[in-house]
Amino acid sequence: MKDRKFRPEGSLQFYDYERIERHLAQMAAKGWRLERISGLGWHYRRAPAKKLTYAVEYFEEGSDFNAGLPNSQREFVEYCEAAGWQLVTTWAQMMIFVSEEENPTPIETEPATRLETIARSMKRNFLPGSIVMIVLGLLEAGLQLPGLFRDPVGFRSGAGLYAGLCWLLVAVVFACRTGHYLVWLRRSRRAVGAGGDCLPMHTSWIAAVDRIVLAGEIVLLAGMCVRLGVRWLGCMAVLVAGFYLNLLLTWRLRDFLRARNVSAWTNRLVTIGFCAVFAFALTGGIVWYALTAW
Amino acid sequence: MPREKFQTLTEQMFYILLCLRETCCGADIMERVRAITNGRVAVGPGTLYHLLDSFVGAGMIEEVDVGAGGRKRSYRLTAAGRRALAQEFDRLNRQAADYRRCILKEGEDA
Repeated sequence: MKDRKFRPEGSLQFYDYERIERHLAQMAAKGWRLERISGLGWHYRRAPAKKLTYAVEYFEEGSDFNAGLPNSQREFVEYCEAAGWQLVTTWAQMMIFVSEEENPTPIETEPATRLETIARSMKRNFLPGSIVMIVLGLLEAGLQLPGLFRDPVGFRSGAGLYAGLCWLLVAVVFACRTGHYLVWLRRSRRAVGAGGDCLPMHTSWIAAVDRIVLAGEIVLLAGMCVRLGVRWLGCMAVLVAGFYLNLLLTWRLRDFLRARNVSAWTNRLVTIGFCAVFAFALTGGIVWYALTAW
Repeated sequence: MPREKFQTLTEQMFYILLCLRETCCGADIMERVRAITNGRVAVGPGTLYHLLDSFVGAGMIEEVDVGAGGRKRSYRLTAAGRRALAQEFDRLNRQAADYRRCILKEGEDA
């Protein structure tokens, strides 16, 4: 029987702490305990089924580039341990704790403090990353527009239409996530200001949007390959494989530098630099092949 | 901004400051609050950590000792913190006095 399990958990949004807590408690009740979170997904190990309470916290200074926890984060963990919570794992600004007590004191007992901690942490990673993806998606889609005006017939039968729509869908996904989070933050601030609690997030529709967009991307890529021929299919396969290879190598490099106690800034610089050079070389290579071979 | 933020104190803020009239290590405050309130008020470790940071930023408490490795910080109340605590005490007293006056008035009217 397998004693390890790996799940992508694409339906869990980074900021939806309540849903993550519920999900992990359900997994523990089924005999699967979270071990760690990697770029590819969530890793579980088999353990006796047990009723456990999970808490998801966000720590502004947390980062996957840190070589170990900074002192401030270590102190935070010590406070939690003193209250009966054990750190399971960290993932960027997210920290996941577990308690075996029947009714543990929650890690956050004041909604206002919790909300502002979430807001500060999301500003560090989630929001800038999402905004970059929205701008990139719109920019790439927009770059295809001149082709549409110059040669509408050729545009519809060429790669520009498909590429433009694919990037537009990327922008839609990240716009939905960012918009949903910002609306939740504003409404929760209002509720907390009036003496209430943070509002529930209801992110299941975001997961549905993700699935629909993924299906749309596959249909678009398949359509492009059918229309443009088998050579394009080969190029797309190389592009997708290269994309995942780039991600894997980038994560490996980051973990390698972290294990060697390289400072967070140097690690970030080297890792992002490597990722950018690899992506540039990959797309440049494919474009060069397409221009010279066809 | 911080003054405005702490113009009134929540119950948890009040008890954290009350504990810090004597120098106290951050992690011990949770137990002290529980002891002072006979278990009625529990401060979560995350809330405690972030409130201590905010209090330091607002000058209401100060760090007095940093243990090995920069962790295990201890804190104590500053003059500004004592004033905030006293103001909150006055506010609560006025609230209690208003309550008594209204309830007594109701009793007299009945």
